Amino acid sequence: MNKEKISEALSYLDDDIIAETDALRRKRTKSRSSRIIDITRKPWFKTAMAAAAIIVILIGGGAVARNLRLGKKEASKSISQNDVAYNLARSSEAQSASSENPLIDSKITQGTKGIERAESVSDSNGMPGMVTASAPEAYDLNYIATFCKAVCKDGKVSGTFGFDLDVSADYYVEFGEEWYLEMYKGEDWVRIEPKEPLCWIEPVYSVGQYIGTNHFEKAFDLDAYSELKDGKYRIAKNIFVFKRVNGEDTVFNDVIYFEFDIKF
Amino acid sequence: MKMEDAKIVQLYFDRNEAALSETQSKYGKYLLKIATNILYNNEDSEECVNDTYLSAWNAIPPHKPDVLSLFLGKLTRGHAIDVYRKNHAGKRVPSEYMTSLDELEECIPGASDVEENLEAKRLGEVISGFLREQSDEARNLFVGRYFYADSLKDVAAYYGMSESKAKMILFRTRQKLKDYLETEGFTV
Repeated sequence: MNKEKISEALSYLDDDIIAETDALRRKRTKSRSSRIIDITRKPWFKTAMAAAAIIVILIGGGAVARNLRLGKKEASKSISQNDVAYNLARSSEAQSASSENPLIDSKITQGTKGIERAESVSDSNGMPGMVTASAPEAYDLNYIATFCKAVCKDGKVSGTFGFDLDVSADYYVEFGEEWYLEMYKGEDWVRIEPKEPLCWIEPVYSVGQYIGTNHFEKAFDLDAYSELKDGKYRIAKNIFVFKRVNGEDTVFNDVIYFEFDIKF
Repeated sequence: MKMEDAKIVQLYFDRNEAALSETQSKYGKYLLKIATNILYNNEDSEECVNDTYLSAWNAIPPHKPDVLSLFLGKLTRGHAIDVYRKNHAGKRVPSEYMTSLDELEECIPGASDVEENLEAKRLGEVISGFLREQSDEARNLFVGRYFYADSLKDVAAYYGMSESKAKMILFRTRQKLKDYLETEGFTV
């Protein structure tokens, strides 16, 4: 059936069905992802970003000049006053390495294989009915090898996380940019809210042997979170897993976790 | 303060031309969005919306719409599709309308030319039956994307969800629709 006829067929949809969506369209709220896209398209946003870049350059240049005047000894002292010792080590897989800046007491870590299957098919982040058939036993996520490298520099935590898929797996995954931070409190993982609501651009990444790449890596930082305390944290990321059997894809909603410890 | 729909409809019944200005005031932007999704052209879209006012003027009375926005929206969609076909006969011009139909084409069956008109009507009814079995979320995303030709960003905003999530729900709904149509005797 050609597109014109499909379009015509849709004209025969029952009115009450269309009316429901019609009502929703007229009082819809904008999503976080749409807000960021809209904002970045505003002329003032570009101007503000340019102004911010100039200020950063000026401040950075001033700081460099001051450090040159202070000399190495003074610079070391200045940093030690703000010394924050992060221990981002994680489990038996954690590997320490020297930081990018030897003056800072920090460690680079390799994260965990932190995959936990979504227990409910209709959890708050998932889609109702997303998991089909005999899930969750229907698939095995051991084919994903996660990694997380974190660096502490100038009292700030940043790094990369990502994963590699087993090239022999009949899976591929899709996901957006969004992730969120959780802290282990008592016996539960509790979501940590950032200082201000975060905005995410939502391109859809696809990873898998059918896509052409089995590797995903993403930079992150925790600048958006204030007053982080000692403890065990993890980055959580929603993904959609497609299992391909006989050319048919079955979709699963899942969450990948990247755990690490922070010790001040 | 926007006038209530019932009062606007009454203006049409009274043959009061204020019906048109009230309609434009309340639904002008909304209808323009529907037309723009399909045409991607402001001038043509505005013309479609004006045609909608005229069609509404001619149709009411005797027709008395239960939901005025739905009635006007369907008129606008119909006009916009007609203009699209007229302007782009034999050519493929990118728009949300064409993109959404591309997505849907994969799970909609072919049909013989002879019975295509009948087939389209029956298919519409079957799809309605299918949508009634889906969750509110899946149903509204489907109608928004494929009937109103809203962008992924727009349909995601219905529920404040991410575009990737909306995309997944639509993907899964299309897969289900494909299976459903096969059980209803449509060969995909």
